[in-house]
Amino acid sequence: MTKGFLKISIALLMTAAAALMAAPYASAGEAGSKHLEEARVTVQRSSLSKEAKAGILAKADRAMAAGIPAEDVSVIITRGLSNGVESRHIEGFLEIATRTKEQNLPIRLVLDRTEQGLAKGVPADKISGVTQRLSEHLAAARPMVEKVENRGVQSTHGGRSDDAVETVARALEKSIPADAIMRTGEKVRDQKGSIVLFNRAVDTITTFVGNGMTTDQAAKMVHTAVGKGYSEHDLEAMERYMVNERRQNRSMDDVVSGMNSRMERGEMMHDMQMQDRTGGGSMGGPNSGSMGGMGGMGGGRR
Amino acid sequence: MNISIETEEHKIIQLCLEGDSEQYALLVDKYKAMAYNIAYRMVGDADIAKDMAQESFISAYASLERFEYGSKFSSWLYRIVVNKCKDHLRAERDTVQVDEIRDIVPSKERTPEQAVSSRQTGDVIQQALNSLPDDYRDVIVLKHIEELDYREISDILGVSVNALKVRAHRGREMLRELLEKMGARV
Amino acid sequence: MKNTKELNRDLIHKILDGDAAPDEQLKMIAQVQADADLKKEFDDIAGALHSLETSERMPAPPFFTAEVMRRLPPKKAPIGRRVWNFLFKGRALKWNMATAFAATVILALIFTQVVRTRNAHVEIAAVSQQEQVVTVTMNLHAPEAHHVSVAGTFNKWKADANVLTKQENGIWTISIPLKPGEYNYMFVVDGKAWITDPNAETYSDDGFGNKNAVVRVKI
Repeated sequence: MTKGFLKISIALLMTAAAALMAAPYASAGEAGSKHLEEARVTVQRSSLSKEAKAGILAKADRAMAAGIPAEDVSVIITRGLSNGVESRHIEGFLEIATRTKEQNLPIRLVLDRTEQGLAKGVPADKISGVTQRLSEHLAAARPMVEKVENRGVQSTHGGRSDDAVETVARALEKSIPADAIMRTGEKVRDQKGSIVLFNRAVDTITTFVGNGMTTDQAAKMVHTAVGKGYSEHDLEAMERYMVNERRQNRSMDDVVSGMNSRMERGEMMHDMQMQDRTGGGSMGGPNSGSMGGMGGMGGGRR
Repeated sequence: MNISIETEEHKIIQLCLEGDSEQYALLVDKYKAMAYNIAYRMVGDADIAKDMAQESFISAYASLERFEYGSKFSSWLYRIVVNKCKDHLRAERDTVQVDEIRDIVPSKERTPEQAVSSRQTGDVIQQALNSLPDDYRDVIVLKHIEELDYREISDILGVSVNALKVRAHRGREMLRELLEKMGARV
Repeated sequence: MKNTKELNRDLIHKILDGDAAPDEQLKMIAQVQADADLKKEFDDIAGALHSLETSERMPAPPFFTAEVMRRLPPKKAPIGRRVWNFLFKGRALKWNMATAFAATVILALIFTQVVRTRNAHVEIAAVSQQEQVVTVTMNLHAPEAHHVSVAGTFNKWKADANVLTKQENGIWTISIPLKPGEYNYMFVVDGKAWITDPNAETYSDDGFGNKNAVVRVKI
């Protein structure tokens, strides 16, 4: 099966490569105005009142002026309209995004949530509620991340701090307490880790909680792991391990205690490679691919 | 919109979840013999085995939402059976002191319905099994009586294949010693 | 350090597990013939197992099923399930339903068989000198579906932009070039049912009560 995918992948890869290189590399401005044009046309053609149309377009202009990419503005408007969302809600989405951006907060997550909610058919007021709260969490997250960096966790340039702010915001969204998050920062600093590790650690706590662990269980486990010098990759492997264990219908408490005792025994890191399921469905490492079934000699005596 | 369900069993489970509990009887009929046999080999007593097996089906039904499509219903069910039996054995041990090797006495008279040709070896085997530690017993039962492969046993018991093999090896050795002690020759 | 006896014993078990290679089995036979003690040991174990394997399988007692059915608890309408349950049941998102059935949970189910190969199959490919791009292959086993696409952070959750193709074995597949990073996604079946990939490496809440699958693309 893998061979087949390999062939297809390579074939597609070639076409993808050709396509990517052939596509005219339009400047951001050009591509942007194309999208915006589409959005404008959609708005004009809609059956909204004149005021409603004007309202949306005004909000769109303000959003772009604040620096929100035209494509996102366009997607939100066109998707909202085709979903039959009321104009005030569409204006609301753009408003929240704009205000978030104007506060110099990372905008990617807010836009993604809005687009996602619209795509999935979530009721408009629910989308607004979620994105509004998210925006507030982002505002709370920024000083937290700055504190973590000030206390000695290396920041890298580029958008890494933004990533961390968004990750912390998502953790706050899941009601993970601020001190658990700050404690993670301390643990990372003690290990001389960077903001990238901090980002991964907080994300892993959030993922664990999202998958059924209590905040305590999740935070403790990740703090222990970081304290033991686990890398980003190790934490990701822990997530995969948890997912695989849960797939076998074990209770989360069982999985948690299993993982903790493995960490205790120093088995977790090494075992990650063993337990990680790769193609062929082998379980438990290289020795398990046996012929299965009944033993040769014993069976033959029947 | 109707996405039809892939396998018969999944269809049945789906219907049960939607409230048509009568469908569950089909699953019970299909797996009752195996569930009962695993239970019997684990606890060594026909009546208790029946209870264990029935209760397992009832538990499975009660938590049907937790069953994961894409896995085998039978594996999930057998896990419940094995766990219930082990809980029972543990509870029994806590209340009564038993020797390492139990008295070699037929454990229970079989009722007429359950009477099968009573081969002497059959009883002895069960007695030997009764004397194995729970963790060896379940692997031996699943591997050599139900003839499942290690991968499936791993799914059922939630233990890695390597650990299972170690237990199987030790279980077999113990079994051999026990049978020798009891003077059983096959 | 194991002595010969222990090694031989290991070999016996290996054979009984079905793990021994043919040449090892031959070796075993030769040794057994030659060594009386070993032969006895092997015979004993194999004999014990033989007894097990040929022991009766008793039928379940009569009225077994009827008794079970009588004792089944009444099924309640599933409200407020545990978070984990969302994962492995493909379900139409509540808000997607235009009809009155929207209030009841689980309208349509996709049963995706656990395809034992890793679902997001990642391959390295340098497409151009400037950008490193990795080809990610995603699969969904849904033989009864008529249309499957994938929506995610890489395409702004457009439900019709990345369409999978159906293979003979009922597995739908697509390969997407992605820059390194983390992406959330869900499959969309027949334009309406949003399905969480049961074989994802990990999961992330979407903020609206659903679980997105996560794929981490690395060079």
